[in-house]
Amino acid sequence: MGPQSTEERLPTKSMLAALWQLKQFVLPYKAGLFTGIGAFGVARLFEVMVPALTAIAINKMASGDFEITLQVLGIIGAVIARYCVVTFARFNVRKVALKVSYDLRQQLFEKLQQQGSEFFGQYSIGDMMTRAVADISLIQRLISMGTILVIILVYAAIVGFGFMLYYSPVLTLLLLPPMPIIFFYAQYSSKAMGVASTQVQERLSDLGTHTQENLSGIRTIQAMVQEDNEIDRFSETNQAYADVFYEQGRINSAMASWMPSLAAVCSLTILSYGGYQVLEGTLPIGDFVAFFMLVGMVVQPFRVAGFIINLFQRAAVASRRLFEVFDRPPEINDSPSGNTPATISGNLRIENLSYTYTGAATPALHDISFTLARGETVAIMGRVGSGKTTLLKQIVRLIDPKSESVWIDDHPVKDYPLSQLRAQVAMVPQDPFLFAEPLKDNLTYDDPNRMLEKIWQAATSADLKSTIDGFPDKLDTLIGERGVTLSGGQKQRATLARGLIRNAPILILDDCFSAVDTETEDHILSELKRLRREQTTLLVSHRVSTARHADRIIVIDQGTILESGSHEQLIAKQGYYAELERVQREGAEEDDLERLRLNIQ
Amino acid sequence: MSAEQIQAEQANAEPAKTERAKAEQTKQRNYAMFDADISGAVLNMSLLRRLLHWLKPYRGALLLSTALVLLASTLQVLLPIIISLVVIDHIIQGDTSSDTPDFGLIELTTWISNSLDLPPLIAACALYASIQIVWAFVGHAHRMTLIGSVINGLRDLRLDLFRHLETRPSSFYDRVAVGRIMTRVTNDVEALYELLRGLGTLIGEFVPFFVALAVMLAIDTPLTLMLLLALPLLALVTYYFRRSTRFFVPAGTANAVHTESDTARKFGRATGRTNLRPPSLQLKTLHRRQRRQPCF
Repeated sequence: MGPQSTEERLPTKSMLAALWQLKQFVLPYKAGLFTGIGAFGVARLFEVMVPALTAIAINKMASGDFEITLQVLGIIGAVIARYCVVTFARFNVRKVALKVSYDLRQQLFEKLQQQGSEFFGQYSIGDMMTRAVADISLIQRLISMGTILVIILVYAAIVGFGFMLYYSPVLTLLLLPPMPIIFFYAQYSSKAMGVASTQVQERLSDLGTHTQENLSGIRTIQAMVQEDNEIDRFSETNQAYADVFYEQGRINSAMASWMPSLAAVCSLTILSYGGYQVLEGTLPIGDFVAFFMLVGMVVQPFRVAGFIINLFQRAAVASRRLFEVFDRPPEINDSPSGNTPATISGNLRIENLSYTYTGAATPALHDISFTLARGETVAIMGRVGSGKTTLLKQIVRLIDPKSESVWIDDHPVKDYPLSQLRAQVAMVPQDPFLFAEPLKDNLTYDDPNRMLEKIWQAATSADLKSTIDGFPDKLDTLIGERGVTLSGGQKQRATLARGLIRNAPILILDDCFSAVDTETEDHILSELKRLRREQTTLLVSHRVSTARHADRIIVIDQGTILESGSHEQLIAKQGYYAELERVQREGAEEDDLERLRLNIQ
Repeated sequence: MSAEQIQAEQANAEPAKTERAKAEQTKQRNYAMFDADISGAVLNMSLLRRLLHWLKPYRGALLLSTALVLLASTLQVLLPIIISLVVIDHIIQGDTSSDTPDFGLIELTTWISNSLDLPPLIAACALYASIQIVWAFVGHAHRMTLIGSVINGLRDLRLDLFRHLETRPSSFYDRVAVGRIMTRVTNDVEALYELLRGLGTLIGEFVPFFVALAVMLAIDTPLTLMLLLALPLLALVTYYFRRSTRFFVPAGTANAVHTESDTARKFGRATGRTNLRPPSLQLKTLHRRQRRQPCF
């Protein structure tokens, strides 16, 4: 959920304008749609044949001619034909609805892939899931059911009124005066329904967000014995949804009551004036009955107006919510220059890099400059929040550098196609995210066709082999959502193996040894050194035991480079790094580290 | 691991083992315990009875709603009787010897006509308008009592479901994806709303059936009995359609939602900030399943 409510955030487009946006998704299937619409039209003609044939039969009987076999057979034939044509029409229209909803989901998914941290800071996962599931279902429902209703509406107006004019022009004209009242009430209700529908979708998103966040953190909640508090909180969200849903139901019910009653004015007009004409002998009784049946057909849409308006308004709200995502420009613009090398060799240059987060008072990074030659390993150290991850994210453009400050092989990173950049600069993130799929699928995530040999090599390098061997199903072991069935260290080593398997020219490791013991860490780093002699590695760590393996160490504090050099050089310098080394060697407490930081300041 | 070992392992990776692994995965991520309640095969009357448990606290309102829907349906049935029997047969054609039951509407029209000194046709129209207005109020009252009860019942159900989920051991969440549960808590409960509201309204549909049956029996008993012989055929056709679609009314939607959970799960991953494969497979499965819903 964003910081604003949906009502404030969504563009104030009218219902029709919001639905018109869906045109681009419907047009590719216009053939199926128009076939369905045409078939519905034919079905309505068969439907009109029933009162017409009834009128003929009644008029014949009224004049003493009881030979009505043809009319009866005609009515039966019309009913059967209508059934067949309607089934065919529904099949076509529903197929279109399914295809459109498929495309909408695909589009939403693709658009989400292009968004970055700013977007996901503004919108919750639960909200996006509600849009992907519930909102698209509303549009699918509109196409599959709404089309039928629109056809009924249009054909009722054209065919119904046409036949009515044929039977009695005066009676037909008498139906017109109540129409403005009906339309005024429909418009008023439609607006109220629009507001209610927006609130329903908004509260449904809240419900989804609440559930998703709660269940994702269920282990923490249970560990902190917060279940009852969470249930109380959920109860409030649940009640809010029930309240707006009830309000929507109230508007719908009012329309279901009053629209048919307003439409009944038409029936009363025909009943009184038409009945009078029949009594006067100016209108045949058969025509009067047929006319009454046609009135029923014409006012049928008014009887279900509540349903129609509900259907359209909810779909319009859903469309607005989807296009809010569709119309949002990608956070990271992929516009390659076309003159970058197809394969990155591994030279990285950071030049006067500064970055300030939106809304932040102080920069996260300030004037950072350093270079990495191909085959070099550099460690970045610094306190939590010193800007290390911000720096790494800009190399793979998870955050876009504000200016041309990050260069790979003498080309700004913005010049590379995003897919190439992220394929050839492998980043192992701080958060070891794993999918609820077999371990093998997780390790070969970017390329599922990788050879088994490569998988085992990567697993061995990440010191994961013995862990995998311990699982009954080895590489086929299914891990829980986000890898919950693995320990923190196992998860980190699995994500490391996933990074190593890519054999990328530049490898970025963002503090991915924090849950690994020093012995395992030593083993992994030795492997890294052996395997990546010709490739560039940039790693972030809090441990001196990790950093000392690097060719060079850069210490960052409060967004600026504090010191840099080899392990030996920095020890000799007796600065922050040397003090950190002493503190870690002697197993100092956090207080010592804080004191150290204050001393440096 | 040596190259020989790896080659030997690859050679041993026979299809049978892959099948076993897949079967094991299915066993590990066995959604049956979670999905049984919503699959078409299980959505039956016993499940409906279980659902009614959450409506029990609102049985007073539901009983009132049932009474109101019976009244509303009765009023609705009277409207065409006014047109056909009172206006067309009695007033226009002057037919006074008909055996067709008019439920006292002719007498009532005559009484209004005499009491207010109105032409019979206008009296019939006044009666029609009065019944229509009363129907509108009664219908609204029926829907609001029904909607209120169902919404409150489902709110309680959702809360109970959430409470239940809060107390599941963490091993439960190793096997069931959060997106799947989330869809259950939100969309599936809304699908139940459609089911319960539909059932509440369905009661009213019996009134026109029995009224029509009474009228038909009064007009021509042998012909009506002959028509009733078609009922077994109708039942057979209904059974066929139900079998062919495999689902009771809202279960088609429910099954679609079942797969939508997968889509939702995929979205969860997307927002987990990782570059992802598109969910085409899941979407295609969803759409394949939805296609099985009836068109007739």
